[in-house]
Amino acid sequence: MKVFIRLICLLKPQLPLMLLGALLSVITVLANISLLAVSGWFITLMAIAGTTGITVNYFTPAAIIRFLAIVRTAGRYAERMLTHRATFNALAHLRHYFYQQLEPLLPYYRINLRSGDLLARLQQDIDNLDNFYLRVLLPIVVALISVPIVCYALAIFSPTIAWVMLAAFLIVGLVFPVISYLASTILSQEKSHLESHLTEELVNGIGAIKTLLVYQVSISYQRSIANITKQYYGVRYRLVKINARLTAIIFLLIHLSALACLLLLLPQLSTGEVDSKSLVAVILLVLVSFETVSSMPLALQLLPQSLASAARLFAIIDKEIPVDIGVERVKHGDIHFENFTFSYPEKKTPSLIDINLSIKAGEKVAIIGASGAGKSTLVNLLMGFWPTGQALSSINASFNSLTNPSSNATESKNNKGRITIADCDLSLIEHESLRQHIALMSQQGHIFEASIADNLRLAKHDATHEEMRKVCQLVNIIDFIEGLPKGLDTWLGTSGAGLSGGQAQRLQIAQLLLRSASVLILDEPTKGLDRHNEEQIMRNILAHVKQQQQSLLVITHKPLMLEKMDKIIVMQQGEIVAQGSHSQLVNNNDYYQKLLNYF
Amino acid sequence: MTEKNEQQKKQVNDWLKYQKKYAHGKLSRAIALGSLNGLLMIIQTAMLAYLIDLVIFPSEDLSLTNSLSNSVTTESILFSETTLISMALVAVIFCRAALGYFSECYSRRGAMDIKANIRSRLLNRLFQFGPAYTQTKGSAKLSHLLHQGIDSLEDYFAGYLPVIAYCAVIPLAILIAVFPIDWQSGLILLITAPMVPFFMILIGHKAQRLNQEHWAKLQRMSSHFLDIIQGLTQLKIFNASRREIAAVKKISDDYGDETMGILKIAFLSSFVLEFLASISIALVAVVLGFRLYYGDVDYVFALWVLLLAPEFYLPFRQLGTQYHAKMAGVTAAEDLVEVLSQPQVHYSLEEKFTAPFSISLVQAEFAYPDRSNALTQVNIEFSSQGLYAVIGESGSGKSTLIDMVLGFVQPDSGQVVVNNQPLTAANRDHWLKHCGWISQQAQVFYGSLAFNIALSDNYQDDLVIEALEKAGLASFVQTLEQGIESEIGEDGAGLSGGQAQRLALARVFYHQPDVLILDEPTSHLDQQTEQIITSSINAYAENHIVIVIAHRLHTVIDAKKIIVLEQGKVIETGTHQELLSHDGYYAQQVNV
Repeated sequence: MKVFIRLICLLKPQLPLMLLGALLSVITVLANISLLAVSGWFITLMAIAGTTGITVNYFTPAAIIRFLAIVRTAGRYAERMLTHRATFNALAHLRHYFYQQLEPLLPYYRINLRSGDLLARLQQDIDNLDNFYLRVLLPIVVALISVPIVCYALAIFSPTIAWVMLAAFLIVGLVFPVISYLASTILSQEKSHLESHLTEELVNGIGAIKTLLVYQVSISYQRSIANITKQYYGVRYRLVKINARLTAIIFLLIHLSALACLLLLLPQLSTGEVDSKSLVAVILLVLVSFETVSSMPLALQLLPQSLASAARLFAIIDKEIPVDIGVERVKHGDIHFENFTFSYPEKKTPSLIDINLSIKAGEKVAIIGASGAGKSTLVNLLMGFWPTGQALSSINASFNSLTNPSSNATESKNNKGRITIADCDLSLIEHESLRQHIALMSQQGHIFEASIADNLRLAKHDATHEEMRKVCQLVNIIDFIEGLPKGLDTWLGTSGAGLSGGQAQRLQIAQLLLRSASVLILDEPTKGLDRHNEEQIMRNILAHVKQQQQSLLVITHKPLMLEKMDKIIVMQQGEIVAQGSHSQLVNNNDYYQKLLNYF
Repeated sequence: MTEKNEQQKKQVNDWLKYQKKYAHGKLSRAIALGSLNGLLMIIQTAMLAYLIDLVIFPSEDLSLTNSLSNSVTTESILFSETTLISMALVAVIFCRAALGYFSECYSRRGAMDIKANIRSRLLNRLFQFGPAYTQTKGSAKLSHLLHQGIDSLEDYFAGYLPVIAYCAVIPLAILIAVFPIDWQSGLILLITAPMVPFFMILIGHKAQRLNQEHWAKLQRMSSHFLDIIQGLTQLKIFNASRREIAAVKKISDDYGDETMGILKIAFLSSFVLEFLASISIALVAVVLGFRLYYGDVDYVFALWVLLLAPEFYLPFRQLGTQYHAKMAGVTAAEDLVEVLSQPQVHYSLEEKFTAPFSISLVQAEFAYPDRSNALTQVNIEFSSQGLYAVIGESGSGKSTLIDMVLGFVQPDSGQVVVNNQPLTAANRDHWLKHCGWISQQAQVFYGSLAFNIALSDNYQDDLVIEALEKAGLASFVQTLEQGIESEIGEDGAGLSGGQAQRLALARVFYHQPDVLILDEPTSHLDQQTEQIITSSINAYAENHIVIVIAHRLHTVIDAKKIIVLEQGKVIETGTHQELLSHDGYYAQQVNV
C-alpha cells in the first residue's frame, strides 16, 4: 500500500491529464453499451410495428444510434491519445527521477550494485510501470464511475436485474481478480526477478566472451542461459494459465448472466411490467455492460507486477545517501592528511592507517608502493566519494541521538583523523566545487559510447577543437586520431572498442589535461604504455602542469621521472613508510633503490 | 534499393513463418481451437435470437390451435422449449469457455517454445562468431536483442498469427450463414470487409517505417543507459553527472514522443476500422429495421444478423491491434535474421590438435573495417616450449596478433598454421582447449573467488589454493573472512587492479593450458608482485609455450625469442643479446 501511494504521488504532475483521460474513457464505454441496447430496442420496435401495422417515429432512435456510434469511435480515439501521452510523460519523469536518485549512490555502493542489474531496473521496471496508469488505475476508475450508472439504468426496468448485475459486476470485477491476484503474487515477483537475472547474465556473458571461449565455458554458459530461459518462461506460462482460466470463467459468467436476466424477466413480461422492446434492450445491455469491468482482472493481475517493479526501484532510491555536509567553496591551498585512518564500509581491515601528509599548492608529488598499498584509496578520498572527518562525526551524532549507534560504531572506530584543503575540512567542501578544484584520472576510467570529441568534452564541455587537438598532442595520440577518416568525430564502440588499451589510457590522460583544476591526480597514467610513449607523455604532463601552475599527484610504480618530483611518498600496506625528495630517498630507502634499478 | 528492401522483407517474413515449426504443432492446435470457438459463436447467437423471439412473439399458430383445448399445455410447451434451448445455450457457452482457455494456453506455450529456441540458436551463433563480431555489434545491443528483442516476438506468434487465421475463417462463416437469410445485409458486410485490409495496408506502410526507427532508438537507449551507469563515477569526477540527468530526461522524452508517433498511427488505424464497423452495423440495423417494418424478414433472423454484425468485424479489429505486434515482431526479427543469416561455421569434429605444438603465422594480413592494415605480411613461428615476447608501441598490432593466434580473428590473407593444420573458425574451439589467455584488464565475474578461478561451480579446493599460491594471492585470500568462498563484484570491485590480474593468473595456473597467451600481464603491478609473477611465468614457460605482450623490457630478457612489431610489421626478431647487437629499435629502447 505504501508503494502504491508513493507511486501515485510520483504521478501527481500528470494527474489532470490522467483524470481527463478517465472521463473520456467512461463516456466512450457508456456510448458503446447504449449503442447496442438502443439498436436492439429499435429493431424490436420496428418488428412490432411491422406486425401490428402501427406507425412509429423511427427518426429519433435512428439519430440516437448514429450519434452514439460517432461518440464511441471519436471518444475512443481521443481517450487513447490522451491516456498514452500522460503515460509517457509519467515514464520520462520516473526515469529522470530514478537517475537523479541513483547519482549520489555511486561509487559509494559500487560493490553491491551491479550494472547489468541496474540496467534491468532502469529499463524494465520503469517500462513495467507504464502499465500502472493505463492498465491498472484507469480501469479501476472507469469501473467505479460507470458501474453505478449502468446499474441505475437497469433499475429503471427492473430492480431485481440491477441487483443481480451489481453482484455479477462485483464478482467479475473484484472477487475473481482478487483470487487470481493472490494466486499470482509470488509468481510475478519470481518473474520480475528472473527477468532481471536474465538481462544481467546476458550483459556480463557477452562482455566476457573471450574469456568464456578460451576457458571452454561457453557451452556451460549457454546451458545456464537456456536454463534461466526455461525457468523464466515456466513462470510466465503459469501466469498465462491463471489469466486464461480467469478469462474463461468470466466469459461463462457474462453469457450465463445474460441468460439468467432473460429468464428472470419472463414473468414480468407476461404480466406486462416490462415490454418486449425493453426486454431485448436489457438483454443486449447486459451482454455488453461487462465492458465496464472487463479490464479489471488484468488490472489486478498487473497491480502486483507494477508494485513489485516499483518496490525494486524504491529499494535503490531508499538506500542511505552518503553523508554530504559540504557547503563551503574550495579555497586554493595546501592539502593535509592528519592522523588519517580509513576503512571501506565492507572491509574489516583499514585501507589507510595513520596517514600524515601534506601536499603544497603547486607541488609535484609521486605516490609509489605495491598494489593494495592504499594508493588509490588515498586519492579517491580526495574526490569526496566517501565521507570523512566531520561528515563522519555528524553521522555518529545523528546515530547516537537515535539511540541506535550499532551500525556505524565500527566505522567510527576505524575512521579517524581528517583531510583538509587550505585548512578547511574536506567533508565541509561542496562536492561540485571540490571536483572543480581536483581532477582525477582513475584506474577504472570509462570510455563512453560516443565520439572521441564527445568523450573529451566530458572533461570540459565547451572545449574547442583547437584545445582538444592540443591535449591530444601532449599525449601522443593526435597522429592516430588524425589518421582516422572522421578524426575527432570518430565514434567509439562499447567500452571504447576501436581503441587499444594504451590509446584509451592516453585519451583519459587527455581528458584530465583539459580540466582547469588546481590539482591533477593521475592513477597509474602510463599503465599499458611502452617506454617511448611513457617518457614523452610524462614529460609533457610535467611541462603542462608547470605552465598551468597546477599541483600534480601521480600514483605509479615505475621509476619514471621521479627525480623531477618535489616529493615522493612510499606506501606499504596502508601506511606511509617513507617520504622525501628523490635525493633524500635514493640513499636511504631500500624499496626506492630497488624501484630505480628497474626498466 | 527498394528492390533490396522488398527482398529483405520477404526474407524476414519467410524466416518468421519458418519459426512456427519450433512450436511443434502447438500454434496450429491453438488456431484450430480458436476457429472452432468462432463457429460455435454463430450457433450461440442463433440460439439466443431464437430464444428471445420465442419469448417475445409466442407462436401464434400454437396459441390459435391450442387456445381452444387447453391453455396450460401451450404454456408448458412454450416453457419446455424455452428450457430446452436454454440448456443447449448453456452447453454451448461452456464449450466456448473451454475452447478459449485451451486455445490461449497452446498459443502462448507455442510462442515461448519458439522464443526459447531462437534464443539458444542466437547465443550459440554469437559464440561461434566470437569476440570479433560481438565487439563490432556492441554487447549491450546484443544482450538487448537476445532478451527484449526476442521477447517482443511473443505477440507476433501468440497474437498476430492466430488472428490472421481467424480473419480468414470467422467472417467467411458468418457470410455463409447470413447470405441465405438476408442477402442485403450480407452484401453490406461483404463490401465493407475488403476495405478493412485496404486501410490497414495504407496506414501500416507508414507505421512500419516509423517502427524501425523506434526499434533503433530503443536499442540506442539501452546501450546509453548501461554506458552511463558504468561510467557514472567517471562522470562524477568531471562534475558531469548532473548534466547527464538532463540527457536522460531528453532521451526519455524523445522515446515517449517516438512511441506516441507509432501509437498515433495505430490508433488512427483502429479509429478507421471502428468507424467502418460502426457505419456498417448501423446500415445493417437500418436495413433490417425497414425490412421488418414491411414484414420482409422474420424477427428471429433479423436479431441474429444484428447480433452477428459486430462479431463479423471483431477479428479485423483484433487484427488492427495485433498489427502493431506484427510490426514490432518484424523489426525485431530483422536484427535476428541479420545475425542468424551470417554464414554458419561448420565445426569439424576430427581436426583435433595434440601437443607438442608448433604455431606459425604465414604471410598473415589483417585490417579492421575502415582502418589501415593492423597487420601486414607477418611471418612468425612459435615452434616449441619457451617464452616468446611480442613488443612494440601501442597500436602496432600486438593485440590483433594475439587474437589471430587464438583464432578470434581470421587473417584477410595468409594463414595461421598449428601443427601443419590451418587454424580456421571451424577448428577454433578445438584449438582453444589448449590455450589460456589473460587480457590487459582481467575479467572478473560476479561470484565467489573460487568460481572465478575454476570458472565452474565444481572446483577442487586444494587446486584452487595451489593456483592462488602460484599467483601470489594466497596471503590476500587468507585475510578474507570467507577465504576462497568470498564473493567478488563485477569489474573486480573489491580487488585492486593488481589483485584482479593475479586472479586471472591463478585461473591460468588452475587450468594448465599448453599454450599461454598474456596481454601485458604485469602492466598494473608493482615491482614486487611483478617479480613473483614474472618468475611464475618463466617457470611455466619451461614446459609450455608462453606468448607475452610486454612493455617492460626487463621482463623479457630471458625470452627465447623477442618479436618487435612496428605499424603492423615485424621489424626485428631474436633473443635479447641478438637484438642488442643488431642495434635496432630494441637496442634503442633498452638504452633510453
